[in-house]
Amino acid sequence: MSVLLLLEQRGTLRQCAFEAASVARDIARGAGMELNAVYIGQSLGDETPALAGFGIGKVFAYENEALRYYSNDAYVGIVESLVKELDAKVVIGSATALGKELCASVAGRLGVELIQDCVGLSWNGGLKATKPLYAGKVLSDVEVLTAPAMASLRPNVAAVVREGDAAPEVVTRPMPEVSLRTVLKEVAEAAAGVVELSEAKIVVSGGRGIGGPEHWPVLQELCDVLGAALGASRAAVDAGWIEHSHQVGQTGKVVGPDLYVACGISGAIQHQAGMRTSKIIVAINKDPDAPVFKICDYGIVGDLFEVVPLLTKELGQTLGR
Amino acid sequence: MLTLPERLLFALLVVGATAYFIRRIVVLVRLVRMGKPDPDHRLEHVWQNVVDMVLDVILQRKVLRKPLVGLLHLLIVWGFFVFAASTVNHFAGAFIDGFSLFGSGRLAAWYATMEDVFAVLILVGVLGLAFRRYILRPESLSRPSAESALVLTFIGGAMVAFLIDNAIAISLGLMEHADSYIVSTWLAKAFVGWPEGPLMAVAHLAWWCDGIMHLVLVALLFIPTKHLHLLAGPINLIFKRKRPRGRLVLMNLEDEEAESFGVSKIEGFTWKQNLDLLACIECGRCQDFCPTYNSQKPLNPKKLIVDLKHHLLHDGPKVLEQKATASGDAQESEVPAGPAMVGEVVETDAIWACTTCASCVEHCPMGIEHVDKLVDMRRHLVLMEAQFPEQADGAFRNMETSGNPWGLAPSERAAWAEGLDVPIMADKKKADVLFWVGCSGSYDDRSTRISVAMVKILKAAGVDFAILGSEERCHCESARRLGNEYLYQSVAQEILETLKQYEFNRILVICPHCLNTFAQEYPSFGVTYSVVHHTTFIDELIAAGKLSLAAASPCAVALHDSCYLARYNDVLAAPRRVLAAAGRTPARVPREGVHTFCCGAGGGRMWLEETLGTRINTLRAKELMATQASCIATACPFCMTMIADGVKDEGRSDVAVKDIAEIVAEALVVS
Amino acid sequence: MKVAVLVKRVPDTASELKVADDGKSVVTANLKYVMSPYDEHAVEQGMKLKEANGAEVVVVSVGPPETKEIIRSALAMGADSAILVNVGSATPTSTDVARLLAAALAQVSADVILAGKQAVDDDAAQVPERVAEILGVPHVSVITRFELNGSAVTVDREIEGGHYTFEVSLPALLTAQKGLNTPRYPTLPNIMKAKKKEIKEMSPADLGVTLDAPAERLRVHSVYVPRQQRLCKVLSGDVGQQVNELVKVLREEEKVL
Repeated sequence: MSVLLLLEQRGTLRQCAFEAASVARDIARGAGMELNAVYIGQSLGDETPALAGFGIGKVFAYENEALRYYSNDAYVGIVESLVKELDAKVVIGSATALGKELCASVAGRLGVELIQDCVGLSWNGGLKATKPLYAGKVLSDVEVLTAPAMASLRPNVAAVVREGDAAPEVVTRPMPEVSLRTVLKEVAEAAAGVVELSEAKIVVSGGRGIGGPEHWPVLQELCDVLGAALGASRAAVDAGWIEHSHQVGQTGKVVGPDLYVACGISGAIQHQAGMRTSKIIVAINKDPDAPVFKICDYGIVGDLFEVVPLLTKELGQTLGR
Repeated sequence: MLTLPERLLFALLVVGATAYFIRRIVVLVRLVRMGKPDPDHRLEHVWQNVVDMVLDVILQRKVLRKPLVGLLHLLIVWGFFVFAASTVNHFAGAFIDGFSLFGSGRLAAWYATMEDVFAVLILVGVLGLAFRRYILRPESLSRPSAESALVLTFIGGAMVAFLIDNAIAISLGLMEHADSYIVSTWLAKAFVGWPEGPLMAVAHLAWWCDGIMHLVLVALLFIPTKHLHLLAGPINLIFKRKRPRGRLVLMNLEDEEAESFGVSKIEGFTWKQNLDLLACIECGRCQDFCPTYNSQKPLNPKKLIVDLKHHLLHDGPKVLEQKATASGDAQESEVPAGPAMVGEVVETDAIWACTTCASCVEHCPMGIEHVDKLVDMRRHLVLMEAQFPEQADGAFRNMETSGNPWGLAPSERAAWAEGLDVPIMADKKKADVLFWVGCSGSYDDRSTRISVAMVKILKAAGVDFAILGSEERCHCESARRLGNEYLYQSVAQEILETLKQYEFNRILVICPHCLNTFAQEYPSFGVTYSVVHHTTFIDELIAAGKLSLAAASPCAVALHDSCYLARYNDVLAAPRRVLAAAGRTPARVPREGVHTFCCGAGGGRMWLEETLGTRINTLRAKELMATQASCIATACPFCMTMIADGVKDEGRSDVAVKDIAEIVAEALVVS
Repeated sequence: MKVAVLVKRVPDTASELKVADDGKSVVTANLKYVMSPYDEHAVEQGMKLKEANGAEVVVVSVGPPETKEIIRSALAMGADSAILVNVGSATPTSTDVARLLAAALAQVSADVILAGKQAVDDDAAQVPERVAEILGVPHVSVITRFELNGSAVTVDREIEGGHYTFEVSLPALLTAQKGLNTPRYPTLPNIMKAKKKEIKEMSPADLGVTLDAPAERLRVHSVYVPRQQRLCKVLSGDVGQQVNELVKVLREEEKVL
């Protein structure tokens, strides 16, 4: 009886791995089970100390050059065998692009239930998950009754909390033999700062209030701090201040990020059509009567050239970027 | 006068010209008949159309909208009728010396004067038009064509020859009623004293010039030139439809036999659409008033019709030939009949540029229906090829699934009415007036203020009304004008079902596109509603004394007429009366009433990017702002959006754009 | 070549959702339903294979009888035939949906199985992967490029800030992400043809699958709507205070940073 934590790495351990570790520790503690983790990658190297304070008993490290990048065939087999070996009752992963696939495949292979992309995970007589449905319009509190019960945790929703400095024992394992049906051909990491608009998690957009193409850097700096994509309203595109590929709206791109920051955008309906599904909308505009304030969650009435640089600075400090 | 060999030669020419004439007529008739059956009952109003046509031809009503050019053309037209008899006299005179249809009495004398004077008037007309065409070169006439030069030269030449011929005859003393030929008599002085030999030679020459030019003019009718409008124009006017301009033909989408929907090939047009092409005189009035041409877009209505005409004349015979071989031979020859109509003859960008404002149709003196042809081509592109500007994809899908073009929540449709105590049909079941709010009036922040103003007015006047709330949905008129007939028709069934549940006497709309749809289009489904635009409705309320408006200090307002209101539905006086009642004096707008200039949003263009040329809404907004009025009044939410954007783009925050309902609501005195 | 596309019927994303009286489910009456948007990209990829390689495209879905309307729209895009596993009003778990789909797919023997990366109603994001596991075929999720070369396909698999390029041998299952293609708008002749195309309807029993009671595997404690409408909260104080507060709520309350 134990909890198994899937540690996500991309060369090094990702921030979301520590978030999941914090949550997994609390679950293991609640359930009175021991917590183990699995690392699959090239080499855990000197990262073990970073895993201290999460109550992890053992880290099973499957280290191999061939495991550096995600391979469904190899990764799923490892997790499956480890779940069985450890008699894991709970398996926690990260709801990242690759983490979700890994969890889904493992759940499929084991024939157990899985809740993906949870915004809250706890133990209360069973594994309880808070799961957004309908793109977050509805939340559901669900208990997973299968053994093991599986869940993946959305990045950035849990805080990383270390308790004490007990480091886990590292159990290095060789890579099991596996015939790869999918072969990795190429790895393309996009240049930092370039985020595709329609899939971005955060979008910062500018409109007529930008005043001219020379002012985009003000928004670009905010984008850089947030890892956001830069959008624009039709008015800004029509004025020739930026290419059409940045346009958000009825006749541009339709975006649905977690956070949408509209700067100097009045919020005409044609713009609304392109960003209405955003989870949180922030509006910065000097006209208090601008329609954008009727469709936003948080609004700041003020000059964007004053507000945005301040916001960039503040976020830079808070997020440590 | 003529010698025997001359008579023989002339007879030969007449026979040859007649034969050619008949052959051309047969070809042209076959080309027109190649078209499909026309869905309109074209002969329904034939006698009225004939009367209208005769009046249009004789009085040159539409042509005279350009007064000077119209007058010059009128001289030629009237001269043409006068000279019809003269031509007969001339031809018969070749064989019977001194032949006259009018005998030799006073009638003949009177006619002689007419002929003589009109010869000069025609010359004035020809020279005037030639001066315009070749010296002034107005934009509407685009490239000076050899064709026009030919026609003008021959008409002018014929007149000169006629006058010289007569002058010599007078100087020789051969003319009866010589005194009646005022001009020729004066010209005859030039020949006084000439020896008879040379005089006779010049006389023969003049006679031949006159005769041949007449023959050529007749033949020119049937060589494919714009001269053809003399014949095809009046016939086209006879078949002019009486269907409201705002009613597109309802397609039969269930037609199992149909291989194709919409029009992609020249043989896809109806016979009337083909006749339209032949009737074009290339006057360029359509292009003068076209919003797309005037904003440097690839669509030029004149070029559209002329290119299609040449395509019909050039490639039509090949199609006929193919059909003939195909029917005799089971194996259909798959040789392409020429360039693709959609894409090559007519650029696709031109097809999508049209705002369906129908300014071209309004101004065409020949009764050509440009818009329907473009919609037919759009129908083909959408229904058969699924090819359309990418921005339309989202609009189509949103209209279908969410019931509004923006994809906003259907449940939010009546959010604008929250707190206003607006009755909902689902609760009331029955109301005198069903207020159809429309998508803009329901969702667009700016346009919801029109709805709110309207509710204020309705309540002040004590009108028994209700809205449909979340049961209302987009009627997809704009999708239809983008060619998506399928979406429009499937949605119409849904709307008809909704409306069936309730009892009401009238439908009130604040959008001319809704007005046009329910008033003009829905009768095609066999239902007739009494539909009223809010400007008309407010006008009625004022007339009935149900609204008391404060006499605010008069201020000038520039009224922008909506195409779908003014040009499609003849709502012209009501908005002006309402503005006056609210103490506003309409400023003089350069293009107003039925001559209004589109805002750029019609025909589904509201949902597309305007990337080519300049922006239509900016052109119009500038024109309206040039009136110096501090307020621009609109009566359509689309116009409101476009004009307001245009004003904003010019940075003119001092100019307000308001709907007429808002202006009335402001002036309202609520006791 | 045979292509199977898995599609799901979901409420239109513009729908306003309400919690049912039991507090454990969402009211589904009066909602407008559509094909899950990611599935449209999967269907489009199927159509591309049909056009380029003459593939036969079969649409497979699990759902209530009304799912046929959504299947028709996939057929109108050009798919050849369809199988609907009619589960009536039941809401099977992801595990069971996968079992049903796998059983139906066993009858198709497709070379390529396509699906959307997730359905936009329950956002479960796991059914296609489970299907691949049951069928024992390789799979790649969240692809933005698909290129067929002989008996293998090359795909781009999206990851945060980039992509991996994989080569997969066929048969394989792939799930579509938005950038993969642009779903076509159906033409009228195809809409008409779709009305006559066969939709083979089967019950779980026909496929030899007995559904588990969902309540034995997952227990829904409650379903709730976190926020009905936009907050429209205009912050107050001087600019510094406003910015300060904004960063705080975004981070601590909304957790979007």
